[in-house]
Amino acid sequence: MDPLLAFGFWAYVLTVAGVYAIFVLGLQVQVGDTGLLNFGHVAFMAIGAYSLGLMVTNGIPTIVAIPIAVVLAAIAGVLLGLPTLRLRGDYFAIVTIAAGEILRILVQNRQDETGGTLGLRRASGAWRDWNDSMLDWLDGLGLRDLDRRVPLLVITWVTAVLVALLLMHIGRSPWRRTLRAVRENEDAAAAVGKPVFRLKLQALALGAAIAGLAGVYFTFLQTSLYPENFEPIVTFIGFAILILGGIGSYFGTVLGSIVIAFIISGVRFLDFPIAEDKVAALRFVVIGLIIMGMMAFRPQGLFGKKEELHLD
Amino acid sequence: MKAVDGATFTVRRGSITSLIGPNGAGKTTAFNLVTGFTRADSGTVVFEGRNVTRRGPDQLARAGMVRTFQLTRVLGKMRVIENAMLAASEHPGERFVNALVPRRWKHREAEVRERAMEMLDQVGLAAKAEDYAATLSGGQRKLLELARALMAEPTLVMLDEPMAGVNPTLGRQLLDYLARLREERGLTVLFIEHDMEVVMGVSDEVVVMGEGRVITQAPPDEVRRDQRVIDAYLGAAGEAEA
Repeated sequence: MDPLLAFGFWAYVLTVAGVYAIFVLGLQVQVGDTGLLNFGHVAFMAIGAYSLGLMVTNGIPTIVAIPIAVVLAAIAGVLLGLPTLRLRGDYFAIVTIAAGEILRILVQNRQDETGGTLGLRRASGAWRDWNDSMLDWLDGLGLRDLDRRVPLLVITWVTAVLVALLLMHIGRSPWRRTLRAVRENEDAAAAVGKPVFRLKLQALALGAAIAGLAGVYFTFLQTSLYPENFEPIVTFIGFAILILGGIGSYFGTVLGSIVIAFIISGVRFLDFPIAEDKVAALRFVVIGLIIMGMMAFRPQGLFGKKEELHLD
Repeated sequence: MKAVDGATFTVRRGSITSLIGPNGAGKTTAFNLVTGFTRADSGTVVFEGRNVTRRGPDQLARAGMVRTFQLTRVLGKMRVIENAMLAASEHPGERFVNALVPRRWKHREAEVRERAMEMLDQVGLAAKAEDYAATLSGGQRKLLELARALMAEPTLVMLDEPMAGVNPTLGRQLLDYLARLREERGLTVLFIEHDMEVVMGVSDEVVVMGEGRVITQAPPDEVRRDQRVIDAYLGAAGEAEA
């Protein structure tokens, strides 16, 4: 069947979008709310994914491994933040991108434990069984012959929406007001007694935990993990989503993820009269054009606040 | 290069003390050193009987030492009222663990909002409460900084040229308000100011700096007659003309 018409293919694309949505919601807390230019966000997703993968392949039950993987990502956020968060914006950005690459190369070289470039197989643990039980259950409800990818699609998006709602709920708290104050002016926040460093650390850890959760769903989706899944481009796709959806808007993040995921996954199936590897490169051209177009014509993103843009 | 060297001065509890000196004397640097925004290479800061030399600015602010900035630092993309509310001390809702549980901080938040409104009213910004702070004029930003500093309920408030750009009538009212806070709550005020009329009119003590040093610290009448002070100002003016 033509892949463009296959339901399974679009279910896959939408699941990727859901993983990105969760991933970028974490980025939104750091970049949008707190002003931390974290260019190494993919590292936290890698920690979530590989922690889960390494635990389940070493006999730890999947249900136990998931929360531990998320907590480990948060701890990684704290560990990265402690020495680096005193750096000003751009220096912090440089350190985070380096930290992400160091982690990826480390995973690649520790072949005995991680599988290195050969991949970490069966990293999704009990997910396949869960998936089957859910399909059976849905079958019992009269939803017969569903695509195998439907349960993960649904669960990923339920999670993404829950995370977004949770962040919106937190968003009304005075805590987030202090984060925004840190974003606007650290000195002003410190001058009235706000613990700037601790707030940045909290934002980084929360964002990292959310990225770790994205890593869990990524693992369920891919079953095998490879270091090249966690190259810096993933973070930059995250930033593209952030810019498209609008910095500061959780809803925009969710919508931006869908658009970008369709472009990334969809473009390769379109029939261009050029070589296959060039089609792969084409999607980054398209993403680049989208970012440039947004910056030029709608810099606040789809759902950002326009009135905030011209203030300073 | 030393911007401030050998600058020792005391601010008496409950006093209004001004810090004056020609441009480049090191007044703002002295503020930065005292409030922890700049690390001092040597020297000590004693606040309420405790040595607080190496403390960070946020720690000092929570201990009651709150400052404003000469070049205002308003939180531009936040509402005026949010700027003021931010400064409230001991707000349980600002703790990460409480962020998800509104009933733990709803009450305090309402209190804080009310107090912030009062404070904005006091500095004449009540009508601007819901505007973005970035839309304020230079003088209004000074006022917002003052409101924000007072909102933190400091025991010592340090104001860096609070009157610059503020209309003189309102400036006068604010000085009266500060004086009233001193009477009622024992607030201590240290401020940097260039307007000698204001300085001489409200200060209990005047600290004079020149070229990174404290030249003298005395009541206004004495300072006015002090030859070293006159020389410092004339000296600076003379160099400027040369």
